[in-house]
Amino acid sequence: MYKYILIIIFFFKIGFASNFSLDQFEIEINSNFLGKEVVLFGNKDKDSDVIFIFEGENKKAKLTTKVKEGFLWINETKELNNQPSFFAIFTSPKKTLNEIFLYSSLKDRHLLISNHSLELHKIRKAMKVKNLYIEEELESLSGNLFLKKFLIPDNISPGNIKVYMYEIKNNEIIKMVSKNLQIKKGGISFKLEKLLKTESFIYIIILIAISLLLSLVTNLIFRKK
Amino acid sequence: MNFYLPIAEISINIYILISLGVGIGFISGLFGIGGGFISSPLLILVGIPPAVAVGTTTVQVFASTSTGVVSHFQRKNIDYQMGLTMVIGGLVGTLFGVLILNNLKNIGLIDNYLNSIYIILLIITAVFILYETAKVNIVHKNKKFKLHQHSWIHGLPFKIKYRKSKLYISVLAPLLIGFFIGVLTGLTGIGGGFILIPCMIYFLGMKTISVIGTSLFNITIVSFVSLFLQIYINQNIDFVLALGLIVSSSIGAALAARIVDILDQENLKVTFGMLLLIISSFLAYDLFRTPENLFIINYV
Repeated sequence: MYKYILIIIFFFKIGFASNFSLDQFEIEINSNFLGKEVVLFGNKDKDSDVIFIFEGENKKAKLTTKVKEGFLWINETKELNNQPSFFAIFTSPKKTLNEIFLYSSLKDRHLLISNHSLELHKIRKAMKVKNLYIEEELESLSGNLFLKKFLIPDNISPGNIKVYMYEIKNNEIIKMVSKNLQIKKGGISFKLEKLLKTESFIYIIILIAISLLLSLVTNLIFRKK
Repeated sequence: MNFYLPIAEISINIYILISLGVGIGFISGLFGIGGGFISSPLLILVGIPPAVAVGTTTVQVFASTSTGVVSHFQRKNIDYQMGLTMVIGGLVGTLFGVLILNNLKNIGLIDNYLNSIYIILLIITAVFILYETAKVNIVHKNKKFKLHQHSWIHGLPFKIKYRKSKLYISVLAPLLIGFFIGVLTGLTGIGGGFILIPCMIYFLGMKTISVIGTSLFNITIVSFVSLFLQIYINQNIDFVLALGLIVSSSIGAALAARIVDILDQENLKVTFGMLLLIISSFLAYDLFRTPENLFIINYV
């Protein structure tokens, strides 16, 4: 319900120009992190279409393709540079990838939807399996309001997700607005990863000490009398 | 209830982790093994990335064997001369193993190779255990037989005396055995006790009384060094997963210790052999079945 109230406030605040917001602009990955639901909401001009693209930071990645050789399924791996760590497309009204490909300026900006190639298709499929690629329609509310709830999965990489809104009229992009959604590690998860990367020696010494202690304590508690 | 593993970068159900740890500890306690060669493949089966499963298993192996070493040290059951010879081979082997693991990780073939290695190891061990049990119970039930016979190993050069074990054998034999186990430790995270102990008894001809202490001594030092290599080369040890496994497997081992005396040892061995065959068949099925997802992406 609070999300709908937010939308109404948003609607009155910005008037009738197409715009959007998120219910949060910062997500912290901590030891309780099981993914996070994000609400995208806003309004659009009644004669225009909107396309939202959420694009995570580019990272190095490895794409593994399972190939059958004889009776065995083996891996063929290709290194990829600059692959977005998260990608989501939300449209209103519903648009397929083929329709999105028609907007050249949009294709040029976003590598993952830049062409029909088999390799990009494989990458999108692989990301979809890990819930890192979403392609859905925005939910239309009363008037020109729209809403979309979606999940940032628990395997998301920390970094900045750029959120782009493209407003389209007569098959032309007439407006682009962008905002940032920050994903950052916090709490013990962040401290442990930082320790592993920067102070590996201390990480392993602490781990060894705690392992030995826990092993001894549990042996003492549960040992046969 | 799920919780997030910071290095594996996935969340895992806490009940699955506890059941897994207790199960591994229970099997270890029941059959007198370290459990590393069961925990690595099982962690992979529940979705932990192979490299993290290997690194984290090394911590569990180190924790479980180090407490055993202390008790064997107090009972003076360790042949340090033999143990150190194997440790030297083991350290070189571990370095090789960790580098191979790193290479497999980089070329993306880690799950193919690790699965194949586990399948081979598990099947060989299962067949060996079942064969030995059958031999003792069927063929040699009423016969006394020699524990070991002189083989080509006893003809190797550079012989030295191992006073504690009362052996005069080539230094190359324990070095090679240590090297082989070290490669397995670095590559798969296992301690290798289930291979090391038969090798020490059947190939080197060591007495059973000092075999377990010496094998634990060797595994503890090699896994200790392997921990550092895994951290520096592969950065694949998940702190939270390791601690969860250590606590739950210690509980499982303690539970097993309470019932092991009332179970028939020969039946236990057969059950163990069958269990290994079941795990290996699951892993083999994974290699042959059509994968659910033909494309997998992993961010570096």
